[in-house]
Order: sequence, then C-alpha cells, then structure tokens
Amino acid sequence: MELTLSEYRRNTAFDELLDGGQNPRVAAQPLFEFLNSLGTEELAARQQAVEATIMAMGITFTVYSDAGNIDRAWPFDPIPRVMAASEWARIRLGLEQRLRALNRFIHDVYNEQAIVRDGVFPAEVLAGSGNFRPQCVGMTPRFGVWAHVCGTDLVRDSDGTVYVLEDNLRVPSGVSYMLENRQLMKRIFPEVFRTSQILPVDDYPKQLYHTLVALSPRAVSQPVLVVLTPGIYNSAYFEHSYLAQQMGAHLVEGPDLFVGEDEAVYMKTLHGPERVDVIYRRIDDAFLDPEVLRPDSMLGVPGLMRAWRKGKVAIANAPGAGVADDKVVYAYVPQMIRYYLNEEPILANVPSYLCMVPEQCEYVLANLDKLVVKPANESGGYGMLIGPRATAEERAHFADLIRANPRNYMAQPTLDISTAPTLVDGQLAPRHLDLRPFVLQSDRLYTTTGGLTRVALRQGSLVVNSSQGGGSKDTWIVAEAGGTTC
Amino acid sequence: MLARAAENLYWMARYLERAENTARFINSASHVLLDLPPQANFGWANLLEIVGLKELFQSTQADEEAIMHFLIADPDNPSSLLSCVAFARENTRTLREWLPGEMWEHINRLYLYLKEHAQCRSRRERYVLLNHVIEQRHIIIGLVEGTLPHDLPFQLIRLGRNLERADMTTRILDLHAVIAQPNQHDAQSLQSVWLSSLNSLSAYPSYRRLISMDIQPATVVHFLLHDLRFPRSVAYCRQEIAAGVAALPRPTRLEPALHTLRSACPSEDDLHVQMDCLQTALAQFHRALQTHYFQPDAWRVPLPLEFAATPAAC
Repeated sequence: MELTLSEYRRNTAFDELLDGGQNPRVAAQPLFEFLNSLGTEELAARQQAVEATIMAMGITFTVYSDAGNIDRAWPFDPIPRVMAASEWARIRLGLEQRLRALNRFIHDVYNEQAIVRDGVFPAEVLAGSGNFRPQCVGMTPRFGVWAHVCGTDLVRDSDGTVYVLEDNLRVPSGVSYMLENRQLMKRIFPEVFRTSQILPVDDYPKQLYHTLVALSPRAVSQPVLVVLTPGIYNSAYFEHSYLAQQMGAHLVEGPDLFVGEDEAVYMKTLHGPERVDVIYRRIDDAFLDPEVLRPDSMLGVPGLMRAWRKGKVAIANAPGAGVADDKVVYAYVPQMIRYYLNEEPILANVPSYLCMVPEQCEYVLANLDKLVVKPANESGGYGMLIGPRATAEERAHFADLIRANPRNYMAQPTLDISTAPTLVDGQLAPRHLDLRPFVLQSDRLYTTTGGLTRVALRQGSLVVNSSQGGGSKDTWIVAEAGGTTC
Repeated sequence: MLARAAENLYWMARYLERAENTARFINSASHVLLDLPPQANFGWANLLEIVGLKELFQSTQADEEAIMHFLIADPDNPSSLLSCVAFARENTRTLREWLPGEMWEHINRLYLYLKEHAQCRSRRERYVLLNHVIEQRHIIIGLVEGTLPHDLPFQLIRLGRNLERADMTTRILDLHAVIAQPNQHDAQSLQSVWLSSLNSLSAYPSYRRLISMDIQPATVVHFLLHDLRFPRSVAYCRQEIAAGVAALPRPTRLEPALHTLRSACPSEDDLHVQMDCLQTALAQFHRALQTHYFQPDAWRVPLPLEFAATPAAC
C-alpha cells in the first residue's frame, strides 16, 4: 500500500518537512519519494527492524523506579527531520557566536565583572545566581574558556523563526543518541543515503577528543583523558560509556581518582597511580569535590578543586560554568553578544519577561494565562507553569511564588513549536519537536552537523524529554544540488 | 588501565566462561543420567554438589525440572546461566572502551535471548538453548582472538577465562569420579561415564586422536589433568595463567600463588581430594589477584617477604 499524506492533519504549527500546501519541502523530496517506494507494509517491517536493532545495540536510558532501575529502549522514530544545509549554515554561526559570548561572560563574571560595572548586566542577578561558585573567582582556565561542551535547545515558531530556548552549559547529554540514530538509519534504510546528500555526523567523538585534550596542562603527545561518570545508575550512563569508547578515554568514577601530595590528579591503575590531564566530567559541579563543595558527595574527588585551581588538571566543563545556565541570565545573552563581541545576535532569544524588573513582573502577573513561567535555576522542565493549561488555583499559587522571589522567575509567551511527520500506527502524523545541537569550544570551535531532534510522541504534547514520553529522530542536514555545504 | 576496569574485565571473562561451561556441563550430565540404570545412586541433585551450589538451592523438590530451572534460569542463583550472562553484560557495559566494538552487542544479544528463552519447557528446548549459548560464546571468543590487541585487556581476559576453565575441568572430573564408583557399574556403563566426562569438555575427539580409542579411567584423568596439547586440561590452563601473569606489571607479586597452583595436586591422592586441593589453589590465586592488582590501593600492598627483595620485572 502506498504511503499517503491524506491522513496527515497538520495543526497550525510550522511543519519541518511539508510546506503550507502539504507538499514536501525541497530538501525533503527525495525522502518522500523513497518512503512512497517502500509502501506502508515495508515501512512497518523496517520499523520493527529498528526496534529489534535498538534492543540489540543496547541503546537505552535508565529510568529510576521503586522496582529498581530499568533500562528502557531508546524510543526512535524512523522518519528523519530534514533541514537544508543553507539554513543550517546560518544556525551554526549563530550557535558558535552564542557560545563565544557565553564563555566571555563566564570568564568576566569570575574575574573583572566588567559587564556589571558597565551596567549591561545587573549585579543583583549575579548575586541571586544559584550556580555562581565563589571557589572559581580569579581563575583563568586554558584559552579563557569555561564551557567546552554546550547543548543548545532550538525550537521553531509558527512563522518559521528559529529561537534559542535554552543553553545547557552544565552536563548536556544526548549526543550519543544523535550518533546512534544515524547508525540505525544506515542499518535499516541504507538505500536512502544514496538518493540524498546527507552530511555525515560521525566526526563528533574525534572533535570532542581534540577539544578536550587541547586543555591538557602537560605538554605530552597523548594526554590522559578520563570521562567522569556518577556510575551505572545514572540515566545517561549509556552515553558516558559510549563517549569513552569512541574517544579511547578511561571511564572513571570518583573513587577511581585521587589527588596526590603534589596536588595532581591520579587514577588507580594496574600499574599504580597514573597522572590524569583532562577530566570530562559528567557529574554536576556541586558534587565534584566534597572538600569545598557538597560535603556529602560520594561521586566526587576530595581535593579536585585544589588541583584544578593549581592548574594541575583541566576539567570540562569547568566548575562554575553553570552560572550562565540560568533562565534569567539567558535573557541577557543578546546583550552579551553585543557587549563582548560587538556583533548583532544571529539567533533570536524567545522574548522573555524578567520578574525582577517591576514593569515586566506586572505584565507577567497580569498575563499568567498566556505565558510559560520558568524558575531560573532548574533544568529538565521542573517547576514550570504552562499558563494556558494551568488551573486558576495553580496560577494563583505561582503568582505568590513570583511575588515572594521575583529574581527566581522569568516568563515567555507559549510558542506554537514546529512539527514533523512521525510514524504513528503505520501512518504519518504531525508531532512537535525541538533540536539540540552540540557546540564545542577550546582552542577551536565545532558544531555538530544538525544535532539531536527530540519529538513528543503523544498527540498535541510539547514535552520532548525521553523520561516523559519523548522520542527522537535522525536529523539530516541535506546539501542542495550544487549548493552550499557547511 | 584502571584497576576497577581490570577487575571487571577479568570477571566478564570468568562469567562468560562459566556460562559456556555450565551449558556444556548440563548437556553432558543430562546425557549420562539418561544412560544410567534406574538403581544408580546418582541423580540430578548430585549436580548441585558438583557445582558447589547445594546450599543455595532452596526448592523442596529436587527433581530435574526444579534443578534445571535453578541452574539455567534462576536470577537468585548467581551462577545460573542467566545470572552469569547478566553479570557479564553489566561488566561489559562499564568496559566498552577496552573491547572490540561488536563485543557489547553480542553479549547484549545473548542476554536478551536468555531472558526470553531460559524457561525451557522440554529437554529438547533445553538442548537448543544450551547449544545456542555455546555457539554465541564461540563468536565472542572469536572476536577477542581475532581483533583484540594482545596487551593488558587481552591478558586479563586470558586469566579470567583459564582460571574459570581449570576450575570447571576439576569439577567435571570430580563429578565423574563420584559417579564412577567401580562397584556400582558394569564395565560398559563405567565406559559411558568416563566418555561423558570427555564429552562435557568437548575432549573426546582429541582424546581419541592423541591417546587412544580405549577409555580407561586413569588415562582420561591423566589427559584432562596433564596433557598440555588440550586447551581445557588443567595443565594447559595453568600454562595460560602463567603466561597471562607474566604480561602483568610487576608479575613477581603473583609468584607465590602461581607456585601453589603448580604444586597443588600430588598425584598419589585420591581424585576427589586432588580436585579439592586444585580448586583451593585456584581460589587462592584469585584472591592474590584481587589483593595485588584489583583492589584500588593494590600498589600499596607490600610484597610477600621472600619476593620483596627480588627487583621488580618492570
């Protein structure tokens, strides 16, 4: 049976693959020709093959529950999200511009605080930041770079504009799924890679490796690189293990490391202690060192901050980088770009209202039914109010919270985020999605080709988190015939 | 290499070897039990003694079905096939950076297969399952032999594999020594008991070719203990262990344990005592590895006195 789009009811949102007349966009045309040549039965068979392969490859994420920790298969939709290389080229520049500015900001905040002195960034925002680490004041990490790996969430509104939703500068995850999604597509749909010029994504582990070893405090030909994981019970353990393997790095846990009398970091090997140069940490910085940060941390390494401050070891992302991973700080990124780089922002922020500014707070309180309210320091969608879907009581409760601590809240209009055709019961149906590209910075800048597309599998849902019913798609950046590549 | 990763790698190899050996052991025990006369004072319950799991077996019924479930599919038995493969898989997850790319996928597939099929409903199904485990293990060994460089990870796998293998060979010999009390069998069934011991180690074709068509208890025992040409003999495993040790950093630390292993079975003892003594030596060797290499502060452990004076080899 031929796959038809007749059942495809698009809502008002922008669709990534189809134009207003329900016809495939130029970059997606070869994909649709291919899907039609398969037919629904073959497509269903391939989807089953995808699921079996995901299980065999062990692409899982861990869900905590009372019944123990369960490995869930990674939910994957076989219909890729397609974007033209020319559009991607602009987005990539915008992402790199943003990370350059954010790194300048973090460095400034821990040193001169020129941006505060010059009145561009309010002192009270800094004072109220839960992720500002006084232990980092006065530090200059190599190249002045603090956030080496950044996962930036992008969404597209109904008019087609791409917005930055947030910058994840602590321990962003998901890149392994981006890489495995492509492996899956190549295994299950090898034919389509002949008809479209899909740019490869598998360069990332090598780029990450070079980004990280460039930070090595010792000038040795092969610096010792470790991936520091909280352990197998962490929901992202699959990714930690995957990246360690792809980079040829050691996968270590806190107790595998210690700080020696020379204040260098060592790992406990079969040969005895071996010096560690670079730590790619996948634990939150609050847990890094029980000596000076959270004393109850079993995941960290006593003395690690001393070693880092003495320049004996590099840590990526640097402790303290999370100061810029704050939803109020986010609102100032366009100003940062102008202030530090003297450039105009290439990518737009979602319009934001800061409750710490009295006029904006009044607007927020008067329009709670139209806005999304977010606490400044949370991640993963916790503690949010989605105004249009909330009850009057919930809104009243949030109004109290905002009045009690205006610094901790900001609000944004609810966006009608874009959709793409997704396979639901053998037919294509529109589902909302976002895009998380990963940007690297040390002595170089690098952006993944595309990124991880997350899709809300439930009809009408805007929640793309895998723990809450979200899935993912392969992301194709497609070079136009004879056109630009990136 | 991280001491913790080294330990996990060693255990991964042990669990995979144990899974394969358990599969072979159950297969051959089933064969021999089917051949024994009904009055033989040996039954399924004796299998538990041989693998050292008698205490752990809780079921009040000690029939074939319950015991097979316990040995193959019981998640509460840490040495069941399912548990072994599950542990090997957990270990592999923490070690992917040391192993060939496909290794994880093969072990994961084997685990998923067992999870789905371990509840065998018939002897036939059981036979298919056990053979599948053995075949998959061969693929995994093929990956290690064909693609893994011969540096530390390889040597740790070698150590784990051969330690476990030697242990199983001693257990198989022990089992058959118990069954084959001469006064209970005619010559014919005695033959079939010792044939089964060879079969459970896939050793019969080699024995036939290298030794004799005739199956004599003493020659079978000698072959499985001392013949360096056969890769599941105790002597061969011991040789492999020694070679693995030589490739470790500062190998003199294991010299006393190796020495015990070498001198462990004075041949005049009766077979059961001999096997016990070998198993104890293997367990001691394992503890020595733990103390001198795997525990996180192993390099701080002082060397045994008589060896401390010897300059370290590296």
